Amino acid sequence: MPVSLSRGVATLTGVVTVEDAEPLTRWLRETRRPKVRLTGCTHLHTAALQALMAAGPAVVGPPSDPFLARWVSPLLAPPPVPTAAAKE
Amino acid sequence: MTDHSLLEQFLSEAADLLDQVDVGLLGLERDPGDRAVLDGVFRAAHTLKGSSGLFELPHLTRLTHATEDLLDAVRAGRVELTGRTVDDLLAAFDVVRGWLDVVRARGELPSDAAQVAAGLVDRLRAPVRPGVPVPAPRGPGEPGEPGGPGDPGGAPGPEDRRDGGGLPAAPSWLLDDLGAEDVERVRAWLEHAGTGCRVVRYEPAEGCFFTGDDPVRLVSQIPAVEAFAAWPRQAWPPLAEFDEYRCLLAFTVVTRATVAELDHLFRYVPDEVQVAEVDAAGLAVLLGRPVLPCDRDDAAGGGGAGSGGGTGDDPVAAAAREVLRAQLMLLAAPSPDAERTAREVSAARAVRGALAALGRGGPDVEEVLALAGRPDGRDAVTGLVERELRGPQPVVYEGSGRWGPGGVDRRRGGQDRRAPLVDYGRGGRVLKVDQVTVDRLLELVGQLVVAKNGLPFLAAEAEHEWDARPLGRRIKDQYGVVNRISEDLQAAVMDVRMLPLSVVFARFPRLVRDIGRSLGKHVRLELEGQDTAADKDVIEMLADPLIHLVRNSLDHGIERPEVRAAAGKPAEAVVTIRAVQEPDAVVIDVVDDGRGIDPEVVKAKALARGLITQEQLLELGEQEAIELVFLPGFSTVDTISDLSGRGVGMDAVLTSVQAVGGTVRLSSVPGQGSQVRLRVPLSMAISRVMIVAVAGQRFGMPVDLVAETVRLPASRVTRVEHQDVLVLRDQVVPLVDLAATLQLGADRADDGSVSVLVTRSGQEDVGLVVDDFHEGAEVIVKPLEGVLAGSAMFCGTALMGDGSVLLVLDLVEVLAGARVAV
Repeated sequence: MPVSLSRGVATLTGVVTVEDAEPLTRWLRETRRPKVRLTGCTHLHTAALQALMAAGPAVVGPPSDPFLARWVSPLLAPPPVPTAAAKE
Repeated sequence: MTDHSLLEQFLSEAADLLDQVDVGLLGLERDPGDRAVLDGVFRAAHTLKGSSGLFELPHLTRLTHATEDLLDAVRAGRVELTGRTVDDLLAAFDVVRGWLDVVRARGELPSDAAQVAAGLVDRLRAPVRPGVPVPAPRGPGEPGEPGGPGDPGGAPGPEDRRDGGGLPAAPSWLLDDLGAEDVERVRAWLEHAGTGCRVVRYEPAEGCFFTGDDPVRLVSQIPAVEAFAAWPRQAWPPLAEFDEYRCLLAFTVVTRATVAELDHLFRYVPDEVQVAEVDAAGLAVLLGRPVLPCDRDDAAGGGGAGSGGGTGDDPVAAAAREVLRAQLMLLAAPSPDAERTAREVSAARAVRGALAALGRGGPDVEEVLALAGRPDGRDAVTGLVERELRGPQPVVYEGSGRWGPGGVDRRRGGQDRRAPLVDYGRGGRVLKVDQVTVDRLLELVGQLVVAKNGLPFLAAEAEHEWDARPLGRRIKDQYGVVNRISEDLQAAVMDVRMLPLSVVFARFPRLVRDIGRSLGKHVRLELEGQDTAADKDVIEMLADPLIHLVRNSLDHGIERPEVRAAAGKPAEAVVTIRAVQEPDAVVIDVVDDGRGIDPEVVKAKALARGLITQEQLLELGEQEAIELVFLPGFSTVDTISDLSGRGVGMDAVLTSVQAVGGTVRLSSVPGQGSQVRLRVPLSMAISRVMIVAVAGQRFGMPVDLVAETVRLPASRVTRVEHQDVLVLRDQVVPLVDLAATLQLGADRADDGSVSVLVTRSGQEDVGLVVDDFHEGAEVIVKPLEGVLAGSAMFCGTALMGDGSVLLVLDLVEVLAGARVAV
């Protein structure tokens, strides 16, 4: 299961596909202080990445995948991307 | 399954998909709200795009991608389906159809595919992105569409990139997207390295997820990334309204990859990507820093558009790189299986040497090279060489899962080439069989029919010559069995050859639409009886005549809407093509509610063309006058619009139909419309003939034409106005002496009786006087060829069971000959 959603933490492992984007987004909406663990994640579908960028959860496990670590992680780190509206 | 037959499968399925698209688009034009049809057309376009990706036909993929995007926009309600839009879509799919024919013949797209695609793509994309300026017209004769308000911000289009020395200032979006800090970092690096690099801006379409695209996956494959930004094209909506399926992200990347590599990576979405070359000086300008003369010189002289990672190699290294590049080409070239292994092994050796010259080697290199010649060897070695050419850097992008036994090479556009796109598990209820195979089957059946017909003769021979009656009887019994089976087999093969008329009818909605539009006439086409079936040869023959008849109706029969309105007719004319099956024939009517045929006009034209004399004209009734159109020479090109009558005319229709043993009847009511009725036999292949003896020889007469056979006392023959006749049941039947007509001139034994084959030709009965009647036979009549082809009296020959050849009479010609003789 690429996306494992528990009460406060979403754990993304392996390849996160477009189908995972919807439950993830719903969870991000409903969770008060969402945290995301990306340690075992090897790929994030654009839809999932978007959702994370829009919601701005705290990343508690940086990804070990080289591409995600080097270029995608910074996108998820605070402060949010200049053009984004604040989450709350 | 080899690549070749995978291509054939694609081509055959693509043909079906294109037919579906055509029908769907025409249906949508009439009823744009039909969701099911719209979805169907969209899916077909999508499948075409996807399958085409397997075969390295990028322009095809690009074109179908554009159609898919347009259809998607229509589905989403963002674009309205106008007549213009449908025209563009139909034009695009017509081009696709043409390209597929070329691919079938030559294995590749035509050389102008890029230009043609570019022009069509512009037209297709224009309604979808009205704010984006459409690039200037490309090839000759392909008008570009004026786009919406231009973008003065000057986002350079794809055509702005590759330039010669002296690169233009870097694109302004680079600064917007990356920020001054990153741009400065890159500038400093480029200045220090004395080289240039590429920048990419990828703005995927909002709906790209629905077509299976994943932009992150694509950008993750950009090699040698120096700077990376992913940014939303609008402010993120509040999470409550966030639509996870709408792609808002765009990407800007600075990379050392070559333009060629980037073109290849983004080959399926070229319209969403901008690639530019930049150098340190260009970035300096962008940042607003003064450019010193030495900066510019260094930049221009230093690297320019180097191949990925060129950093001032020494000659040996440069040579080694050339060797590596050569191995890439070698490995990429197709080769027959026998040579493949040898080729890979030799390439691996060359790679080893080149890498050694570059100071690269070691166990991991050896491990890959050892795979050469094995199933995944080629991809592995190719990957190694590509990596090495990109330059020394940590092997960062080999994330887990990219290589592995039988793994997916994601570098190649993210598609697993080994997985067929086609679903083979489709139930196999329908077989696609080559026509040649079916023809062969029929040929064999024909031979069987003839061969089995030899058995009765054998039986007779057994009885009379060998006095073996019991044997003769057993042969006859066995013949009965074989006969029954061969008749069933014959029927089954004929069934295989039966095609529904929809095969011919399929093209008419489009034809009627296009011609109607170009003539400014409103025409509705009604098709009835599409499932009526006939032999494929008959169907094939029908295509051209039917097209001609429909064009005739549209061109001459149907009036312009104003004229119709003035006559009290509905502005929309109706053309009906109706097919009905009778026991032995198929009847096809082409009916229109136009102005009908004016006998006076036809008579005048025939007179003007010298086809008829004034005196003959006076004797003609109305129906006969109308039928003058069938005379050869009645239609010529100059009288008719470019659509119909290319020197063919009703004469050609009549000839074609008669060639398969059919008839044509024309009828019309002036002011109300016309009807053409074609009557064709269900099948042409096997005919029943009646065998008669004339002057000691045997001839065949198609049974269809025989009304009856009579043997009467010679006294019953009377003479009326120099013509022998027979009175049969109140009908006067003229007699023709067949022996005389055929110029066989033998004496007939006069036994006081006369045998007459009463035939029906057209409306009249004519009696052929013969010597004797023989049995009927089922034969395959083959047309006369070679020396005998000119013999008008015979329509063909047939091989009999006893090995003899039967000449089959052409009744029409025989009667014509008889009249001359008398």
